Amino acid sequence: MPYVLASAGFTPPGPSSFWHPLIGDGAFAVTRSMFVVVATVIIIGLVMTMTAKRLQLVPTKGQFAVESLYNIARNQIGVDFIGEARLRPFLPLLVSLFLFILLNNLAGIIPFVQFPSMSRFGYVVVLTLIVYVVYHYVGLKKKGFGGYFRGFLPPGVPIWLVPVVYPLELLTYFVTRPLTLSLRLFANMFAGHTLLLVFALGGEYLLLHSGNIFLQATSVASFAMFIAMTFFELLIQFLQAYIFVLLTAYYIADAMAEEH
Amino acid sequence: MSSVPAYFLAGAALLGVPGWALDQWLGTRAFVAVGVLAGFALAFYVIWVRYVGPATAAADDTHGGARPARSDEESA
Repeated sequence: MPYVLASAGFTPPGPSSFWHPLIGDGAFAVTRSMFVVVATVIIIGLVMTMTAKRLQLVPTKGQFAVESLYNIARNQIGVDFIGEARLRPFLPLLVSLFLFILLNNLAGIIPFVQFPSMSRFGYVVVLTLIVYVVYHYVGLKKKGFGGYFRGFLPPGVPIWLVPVVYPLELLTYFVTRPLTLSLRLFANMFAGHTLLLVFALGGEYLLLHSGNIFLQATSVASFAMFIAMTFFELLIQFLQAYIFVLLTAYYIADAMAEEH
Repeated sequence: MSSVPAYFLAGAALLGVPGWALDQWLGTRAFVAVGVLAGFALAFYVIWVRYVGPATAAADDTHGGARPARSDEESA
């Protein structure tokens, strides 16, 4: 029967699937994502301090793993975009952002946790606000108010185009950059987790509630997709943490750049 | 490069919103589309200026003729 899913009341996952109050309810509820965020902060703090206390010239496996993650944020992103000479003050921000976002994203597929905190927009907004304040502050401090605002205009724009290009640059620096930065991370985590929910809940429904042997057989495909998409999510989760930090470094470097 | 989506969004908003307002005022429907497309064109232009065209060419010049020097070495 082709109508069986529509008629038998399968509830597809939606935005409400992301609301997990554990203690209390309403605006002051303590949610699952809060526990995830606090846990990741504690884990990062403990692992980093313990590794830093026992640094060895020939690293152990654990030290090597932590150093590899640190080097992604430092060498692949920081040195490439900001440059070794000016990187020092921004290194803690870049490394912390990378580890924090990475761990919170990975929480989406860690068994029994299974909630990516960044699929709640509020966390992403706060992270973006930090980046926003930092790159504007850096630019204003380096070039002064007039110099910073003059610097938005790229060189080589003919004078008659300045009245449209300049507002475009202003809008980009002040509105659409933070907007795209935050939405990219949030939407990827939200959509990815919804996709996993669709295949997991769909498979469960087909297997236990369809009451039809052929539909029950198709649940195998649904569960297979769930597992495949989980591995795909692993890639996306890593990639999104990487991109967020990469753009942070790029915005900071751009705010300090001499040429334009 | 990495801030390309931000430019397109800014371009669409910058000229699309006045286009929409014009449509509301005149009772037409075309100006919002014209505005958004013109905004995309403007964003393309700015991205070109910043990452491909005159700005990057000027930056290359300030690095001091590395390319001719290298070609001299090769010929020598």
